[in-house]
Amino acid sequence: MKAKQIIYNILENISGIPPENEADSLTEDLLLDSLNLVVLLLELEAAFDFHLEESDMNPLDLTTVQDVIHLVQKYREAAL
Amino acid sequence: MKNTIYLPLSEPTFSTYHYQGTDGIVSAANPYIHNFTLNRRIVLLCTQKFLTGFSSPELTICDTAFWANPYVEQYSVDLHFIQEDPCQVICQMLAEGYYVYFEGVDDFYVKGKSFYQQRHFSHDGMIHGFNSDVKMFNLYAYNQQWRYRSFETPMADFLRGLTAVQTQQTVPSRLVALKAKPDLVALEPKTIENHIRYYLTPNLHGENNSVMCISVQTLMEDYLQLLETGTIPYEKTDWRIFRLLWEHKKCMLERMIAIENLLWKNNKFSSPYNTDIVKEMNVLRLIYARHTTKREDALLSLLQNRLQRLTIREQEILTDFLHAMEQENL
Repeated sequence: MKAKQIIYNILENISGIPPENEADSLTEDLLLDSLNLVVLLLELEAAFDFHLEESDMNPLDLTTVQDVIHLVQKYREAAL
Repeated sequence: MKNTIYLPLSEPTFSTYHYQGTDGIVSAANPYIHNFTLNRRIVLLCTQKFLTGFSSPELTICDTAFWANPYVEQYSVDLHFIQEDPCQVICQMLAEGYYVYFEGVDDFYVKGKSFYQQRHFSHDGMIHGFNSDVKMFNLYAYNQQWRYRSFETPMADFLRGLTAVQTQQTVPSRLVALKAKPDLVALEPKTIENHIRYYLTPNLHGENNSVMCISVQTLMEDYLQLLETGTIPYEKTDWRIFRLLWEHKKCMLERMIAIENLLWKNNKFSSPYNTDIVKEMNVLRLIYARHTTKREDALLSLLQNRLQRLTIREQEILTDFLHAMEQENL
């Protein structure tokens, strides 16, 4: 499964609402609250086997689905 | 009596504990009562029992319970003295416009409540509505995901939770009917000035060697250290402390903005307070939530360091704010 699809699945599992596109707002479209965003970060770490640095631990830095994709890309590229 | 009643809900200023959230929701019917919160609910308080074996610092903000609010009308009923169906009594209270706070009800039986079908726990919460056609109550309380929300629960479940605790007679079960009084409450800058000065006083102690005011945050660093060393087991982590501190900072910001609007028409102090204190405490709350969700002990020393820096910065901003207020000779 592609990374983007895995991210979409994680978001849908937490939110109960499937993301429609990368511009979707995590809070307004997917209705994630701040604690859901904490869970999102933990789920991403588990799914993609990375560990966030302190500077990336603030879930409020994530606004859209695209931000989530970029975050995962950053850690996957760092691992290569 | 109507078949359905739903009393209005709003986001309370403090909601770490049910007794705080209940106060905020009930008093929202009269917006002037919020000035009581801005004037007086400033002092942080915690016990030191966690230093000698207890698992929680019992952190709170003084006088944030509804029973400390003189602007909330309240009638308490011990359920041992109620002869009729308690559900009917609750419906009557709601029909007369009173929110109903309850305590001494076993979460295990109450569908949707935080420990539903998980553990027996005599707990509190608030009822804000009912539908007698389907025999449901509307509760506002911490739900099974530990979110402070409104949800429905069957009256029969509630009654079972109530009966279970009453039968054990370990703690009293009671209902408290609550309604906002119509009083006009003014913002009191001088009272706020005095309370902030008190809040900034280091090393204040209350009853039973409790710690008060800004020193509480230093003691929370000790709490985090005991979690880090395992002296307090991870399973007994009190997950509420950073939520309460965050709510305290949000309220302080609101207080500062109210004073700035009144005295200076600028945001000289509230702007840095928002950036350096409120937003930072929110990040700390979420990092702590991360630790409580999935144990990461390394985060605890990070939290200690950032909380220490935040406390120093808070002292700086509030001291400057206080000096500016003092110059106004209120």
